[in-house]
Amino acid sequence: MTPARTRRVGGSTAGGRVTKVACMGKEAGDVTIWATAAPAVSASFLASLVEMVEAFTIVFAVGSVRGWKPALSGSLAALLLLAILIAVLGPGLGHIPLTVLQLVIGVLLLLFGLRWLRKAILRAAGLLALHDEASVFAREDSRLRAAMTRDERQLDWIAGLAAFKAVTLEGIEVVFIVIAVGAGRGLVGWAALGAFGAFLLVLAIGLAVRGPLTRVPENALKFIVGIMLSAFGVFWTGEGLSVGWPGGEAMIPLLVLLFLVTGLAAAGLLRASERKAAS
Amino acid sequence: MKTLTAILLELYGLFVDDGALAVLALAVVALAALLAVGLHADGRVTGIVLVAGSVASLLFSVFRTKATRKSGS
Repeated sequence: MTPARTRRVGGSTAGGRVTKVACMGKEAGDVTIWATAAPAVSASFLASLVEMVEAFTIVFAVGSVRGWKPALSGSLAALLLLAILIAVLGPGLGHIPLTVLQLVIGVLLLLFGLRWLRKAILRAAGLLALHDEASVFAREDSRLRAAMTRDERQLDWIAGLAAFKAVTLEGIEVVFIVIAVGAGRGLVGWAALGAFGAFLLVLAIGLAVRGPLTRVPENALKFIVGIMLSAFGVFWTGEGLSVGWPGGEAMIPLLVLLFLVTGLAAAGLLRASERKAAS
Repeated sequence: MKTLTAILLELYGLFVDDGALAVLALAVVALAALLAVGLHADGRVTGIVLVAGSVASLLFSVFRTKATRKSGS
């Protein structure tokens, strides 16, 4: 709230009361916008964070082995491709009927979210190995060093292609997440804001650390994102099928809670069963 | 060409990791769609099928993976 607004709200004239009501209405509107946008922003931010850490690891490996020229040119070419993809596909979204868009996006989100949640549960239970950025970095590093016997121009091409591939693949996932999380309710801008926040955070930490981001709790992030995307997926699929959820969008936090409890219970049961089998 | 194939495979892998989970989740959506569009069922029934079916698909997939690993080890 601005100081000017505080003064006016505190006034006792009729005009002051009108301003107060108007300000309260604006604040209520702000709260409503945030209540609607916050799940989209946070889901997009967290999911993009995971994807961007994965892309950064490869680009950093390329940069440290072959120098920053091929790493950055490969990344920039990938970003250009992604921008073209968004420019071509983006306007088309507006022509699709909303219920069809909600259904298609809901189903894709459900598949995407359940896939992440399943993997996170299995990793939390120790049935799958945790994703290790250090080993991804080492693998890419040794792959590029093994190619060092080829001539220089070919090496730069291979290195640039590795960066291009990593940024394109992870970038496509980010684009999908932004569209899927935001398009159902016209929140693509907010979801993009979340993704951009993740990009800035990874870039800032990457520049500070100057190494693979090994301390990111990737499984915990994937667990949370899997829960959020599954909840969004069920919600949008239901909207597309005109389910008419009780409480409307207030159903999303309840779905999040349901998937959280299910995920934690499943991971706990699997862990206990593993311990029992080991003893 | 290899890069394009990798991108297409990655796109597929974005949604499908465990084939059984994907098939089950799609079957749940198909059932919900049949209830909502074909049988004009109450929205609450469709909602319950969607929510319970998604959770059941997830649980089936993780416990099936555990059982497969156990029998394989």
